[in-house]
Amino acid sequence: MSLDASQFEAFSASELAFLAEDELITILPRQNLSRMDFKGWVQPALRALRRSEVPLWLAVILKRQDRCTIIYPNWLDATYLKTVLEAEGRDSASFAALPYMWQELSDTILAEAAEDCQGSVAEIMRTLQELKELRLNKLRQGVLVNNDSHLRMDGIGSAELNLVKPILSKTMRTLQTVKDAQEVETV
Amino acid sequence: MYYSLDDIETDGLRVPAKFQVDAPGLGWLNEEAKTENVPAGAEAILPLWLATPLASASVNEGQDLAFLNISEPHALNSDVINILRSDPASLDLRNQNRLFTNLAIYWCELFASDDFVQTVYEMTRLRSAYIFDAALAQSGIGGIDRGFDDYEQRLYQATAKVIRDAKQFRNRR
Repeated sequence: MSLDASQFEAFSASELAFLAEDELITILPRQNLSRMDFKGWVQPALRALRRSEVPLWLAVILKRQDRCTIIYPNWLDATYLKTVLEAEGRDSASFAALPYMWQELSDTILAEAAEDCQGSVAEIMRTLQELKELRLNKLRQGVLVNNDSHLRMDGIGSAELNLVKPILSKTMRTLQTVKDAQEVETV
Repeated sequence: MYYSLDDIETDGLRVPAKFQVDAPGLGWLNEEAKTENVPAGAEAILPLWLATPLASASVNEGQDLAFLNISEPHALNSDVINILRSDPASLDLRNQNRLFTNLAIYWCELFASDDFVQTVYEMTRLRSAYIFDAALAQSGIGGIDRGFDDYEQRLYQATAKVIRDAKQFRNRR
């Protein structure tokens, strides 16, 4: 079976979510777990009630089995996200600092471990949604100022990059072709 | 060399051309005239693949005179270019030509002035933002993207697909 042509242009949303599962996240194990040997990587033994960093996918499995509590990352907090939202509105040139995979991480964590949240899940979700819309607007600006030689979008997230990947790359290619025509002409 | 079907089709688009020299025995090129020879000054509508080499090669070496003189294709007439200059997003490219972008780039490579190249450059850039907006709105083919030519439709479809995919994935639970 050959790969669908669109898969060469961008990741699918599920692929991005899969990649985000390798990000490390802090958990509070509820019981002792012995060391786990994976191919190419070893998960040290987990002690009950001692914070440890594990990949998101392992945290999700342990969470589903009720063996751990997920500690929310610092940035996934309503108060913090509101300051990010403000910064986002102030600076129109670049994206405010959030982890590269903030959309995928928040999506998974909020869906799998809503009960572990210290604050209000609804408020976090609302703020995330506002952030997403604000940043989408910046993406549109980014597409508008595209040119043949230079592209810069500081602080863009992986999900956002994925949305503009096909249109930016193809348009840049076309713009380069047009520009080349001009250079041939003037030689 | 051809890299895409669109390139082949673009080569087959016809442009108005004027013969600069007498062309004996080529009357069949000029379907309307039905004469055996084509006199200098006669006009014919020729495909780009034929017209381009004849317009760039000189009759006698060292002279500027070429066999043909090409004028711009109908889709690139001055009215269209003026609209492109003032408001690229409003123009229905598909109505001009299904291969408008390809044709415009071809024309850039052939004869175009810096001014024309700049217009095409701006058109490509601004319309890409317009396409992105249409894809975000998921208006679909036949919606506000009716005016997209083939190149733009492909761009629209690729973009709309990732946006739709992201939306569906978010709503899966």
